[in-house]
Amino acid sequence: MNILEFSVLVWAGSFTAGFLGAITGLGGGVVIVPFLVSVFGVDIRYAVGASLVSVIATSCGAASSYLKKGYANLRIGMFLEVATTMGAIMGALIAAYVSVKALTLVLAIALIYSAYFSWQNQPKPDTPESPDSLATYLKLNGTYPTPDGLMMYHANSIPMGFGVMIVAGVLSGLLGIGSGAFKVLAMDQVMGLPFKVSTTTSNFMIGVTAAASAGVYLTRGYIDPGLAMPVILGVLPGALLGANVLICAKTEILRIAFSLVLLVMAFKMIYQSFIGAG
Amino acid sequence: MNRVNFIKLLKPEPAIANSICERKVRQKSEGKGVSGKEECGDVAENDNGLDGYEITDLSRNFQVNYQESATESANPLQLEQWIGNLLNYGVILSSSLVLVGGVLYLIRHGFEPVNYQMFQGEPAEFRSPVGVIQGVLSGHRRGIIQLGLLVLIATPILRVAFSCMMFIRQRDWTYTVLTWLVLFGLIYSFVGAYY
Repeated sequence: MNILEFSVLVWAGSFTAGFLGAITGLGGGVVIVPFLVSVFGVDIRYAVGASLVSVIATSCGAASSYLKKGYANLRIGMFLEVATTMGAIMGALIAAYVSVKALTLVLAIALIYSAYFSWQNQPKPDTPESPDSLATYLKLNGTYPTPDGLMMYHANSIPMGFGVMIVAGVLSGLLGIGSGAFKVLAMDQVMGLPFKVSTTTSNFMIGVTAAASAGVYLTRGYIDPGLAMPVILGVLPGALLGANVLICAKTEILRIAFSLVLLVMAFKMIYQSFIGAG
Repeated sequence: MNRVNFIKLLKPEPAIANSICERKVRQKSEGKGVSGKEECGDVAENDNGLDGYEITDLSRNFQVNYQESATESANPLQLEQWIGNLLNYGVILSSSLVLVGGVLYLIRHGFEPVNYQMFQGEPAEFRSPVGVIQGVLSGHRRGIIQLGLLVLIATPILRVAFSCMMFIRQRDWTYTVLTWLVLFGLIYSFVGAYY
């Protein structure tokens, strides 16, 4: 396979990944790494580098439309980015000392979790509690547009959410994924924010989280222009298309399909690195 | 909802009025950090506050413009618009650079074999911002792609720097400190990795 064929195939795969990632709110990165590793046999470090930059592209591209529509909460994003950037730098620094096998295993676990996450998506108990005092101090409560007009929401359990965000940051730095599933977990399940606010704010934060580890990866030589080029050019239009569909589409079937793809990739990666020839 | 009721006294259209009130609640609570319902009552009392609002686009998003007075800080919604635009332009610039560099790269190297199975690490010129710029100046095609990637990485960093400036203008010191922490982390990841 020559570079031209390789680039075209990677481009097509990345486009699909970006589209599905945006629709399910998980981000394309979580598929890009296993896709490059298990389908094309790319070294996981190159795959992580390419995925990381594509994650920044997706986040910035989609976030601007979510921000303007009033879904993403700038302050919640800003506050939790403190946790994710710290985590991401730690993760990227650790990555150098972790063996490729261990990295693969962690990625597989993150994939399985992401699949589980997009599979269940249960409605959380909607308790209109009195606003948390820390949330009020940090001005984390806000409004978001719904078909019935603007709705108010409150943030709860801030320290716990902050803690989960550090973990999300470490995973992002370690694996070059946006770790959107963990960010949404922190905001939707722990802090009790509306699902749409959680997914869009998560998307908004992913760019900064990824940029934090991108610096480390760049100096280590993980970011290859020849590989990152088709990945970015595929993921970006895919994600933009997905972000526009997200607002109105019914996504149940896609969710299930996507989580199945994630599971298959996770098991394939485990098989290849532990049982298979490699 | 009492929020809607009292506002009906001021304006006939409940849907529009409701959105004004909600937006107002948001701005007020962001400015002072008090809960929404108390503020709503507050708004009802000094209804002349509504004069500062102007509805520009009813059909889309219920956008409400806040007329800034000279001393007052920028509207949070406007801030979101600016940041949204910044992100857009960053992505457009970087993806055009990547596209141009990519086409040139494929024309030159398209028929060479692929080798990403073995990790060698990038050459020194693709590992630092200075090296990338030197690479572009000396006419390396992959250097153009790498420059596009750098612009892309810089976009969220710029976004953080920009929000930091906005928080300073709003005299929101808690968020100024938080934003600085994030910015420090981002700068560290580029500078610190050299040592």
